[in-house]
Amino acid sequence: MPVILVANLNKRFEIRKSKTELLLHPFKRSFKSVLNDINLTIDACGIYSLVGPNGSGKTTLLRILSGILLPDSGEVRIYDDTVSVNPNLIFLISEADKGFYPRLSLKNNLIFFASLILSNRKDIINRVEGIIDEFGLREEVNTRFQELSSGTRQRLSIARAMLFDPKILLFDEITKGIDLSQQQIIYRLIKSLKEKGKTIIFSTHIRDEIERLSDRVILLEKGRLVTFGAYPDIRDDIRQIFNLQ
Amino acid sequence: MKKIISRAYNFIRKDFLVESSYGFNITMQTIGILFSTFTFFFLSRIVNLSDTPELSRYKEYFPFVIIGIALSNYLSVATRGFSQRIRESQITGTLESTLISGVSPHGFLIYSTLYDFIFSTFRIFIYLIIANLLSSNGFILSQLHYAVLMLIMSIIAFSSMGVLSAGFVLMFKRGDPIAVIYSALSYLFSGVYFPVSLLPEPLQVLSKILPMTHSLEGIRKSLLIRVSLSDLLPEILALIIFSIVLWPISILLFNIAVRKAKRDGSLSHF
Repeated sequence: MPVILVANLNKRFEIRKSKTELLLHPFKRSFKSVLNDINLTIDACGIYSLVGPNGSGKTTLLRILSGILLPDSGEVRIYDDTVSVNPNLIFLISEADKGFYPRLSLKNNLIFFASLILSNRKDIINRVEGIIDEFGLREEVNTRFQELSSGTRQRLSIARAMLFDPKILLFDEITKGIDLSQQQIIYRLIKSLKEKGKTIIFSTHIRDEIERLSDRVILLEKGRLVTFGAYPDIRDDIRQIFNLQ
Repeated sequence: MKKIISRAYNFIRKDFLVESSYGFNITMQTIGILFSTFTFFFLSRIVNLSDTPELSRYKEYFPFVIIGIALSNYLSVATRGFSQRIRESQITGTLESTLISGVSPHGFLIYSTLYDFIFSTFRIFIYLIIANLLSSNGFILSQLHYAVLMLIMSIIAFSSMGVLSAGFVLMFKRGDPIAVIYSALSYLFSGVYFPVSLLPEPLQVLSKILPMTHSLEGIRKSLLIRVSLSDLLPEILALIIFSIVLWPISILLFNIAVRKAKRDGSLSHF
């Protein structure tokens, strides 16, 4: 059974008008199409990379799958249910610099997010302590979020997602802006999540990441699905897209 | 229910930790209350009650004005607190991360202002304790439960405007004319610093359509004049009517704003 089913998905955004346009045509609205008729079926347990040049619609697709952005038309089903925000089912991890309380410690940030799903204080603390050890964050539990390195912030973002133990994890350019050694740690984490039976979709620009991590690749260009398949089968398509950039 | 209480507690805990991380923030705010209370204490000495018969039923100007100032704190939290929290969380990205974690937009709005209301209640009590010690007649403490009732009714009525204003911030990101206009009108026409009866008659009509006027009148009656619950009925009824009219409008407009933000992808934009 597919865990994600996307059928005829379309999304467009309104283009902000300049002040002159606003004066000349106050009621005229123009739109930019971001996703065009996307059809996609994702099966359980695997790593899917979402690849495409800037503006190809990767982030928009991930945000729609997470339930935080509504599509204009088409259907998105997660485990055979209409998509909605459900952190135990699907969780989006994006922009590691945001989404946490800068003046709270790493541990207090995790306690806060754990308290959104757990009610018992003891359960919250146990879950947070377990996650801290699992993600190697013990040394920095008392460090404020604003003082953490980019790599630790990324690990913390994944750790927060795992508080909810979602079945599907969506990563939006997770290794952007972090050094090579931290990238390796993130790769290992992603692989270990797959071994735990998670379904992972991650957007990336990095060819090395695609080659090392992907079971299958979703290739987008200008909001359209160009191809979808196992990496070796569509290697040439990817190379062509990246060489064109 | 347990989940709601746990979430509420953890939102309050989180906001307390953030606030207290700013060193002397809470201490300085408390000192600020002392300064403004003493300023109005000395200022009230130049107000001669025999010159202003409108004030005579309250016996003293000092407790009258302190109630006005203390309650305006609540007005400020209720009208601006919601939109400020939405805006702060848009900037830090915590709005989206909390919503992705399964909290509804309405839940976020309520949980994230709980700390502000609790801290404002603390501030109100400091104002009232000091004013009670300094004023010659003091408050009628046996009617404190009436004042608490009026306070709860006021929070419910004021908050509807706050939710409306939060919806505005979600839609337009900056500028919050609802809170600004509503607060300005309330400060001037609701009797924060002087009795409404001093205003020209047409403006007195305007004051009647502001919840703050009825809230101030109810709390002043409760703490400064010997009354029964039936004497407070006009103020209680007025606040109920405001809540019945304003809450559905606020919720409807906030829902429209959330839906628009989720469609435009602008929940985290600022």
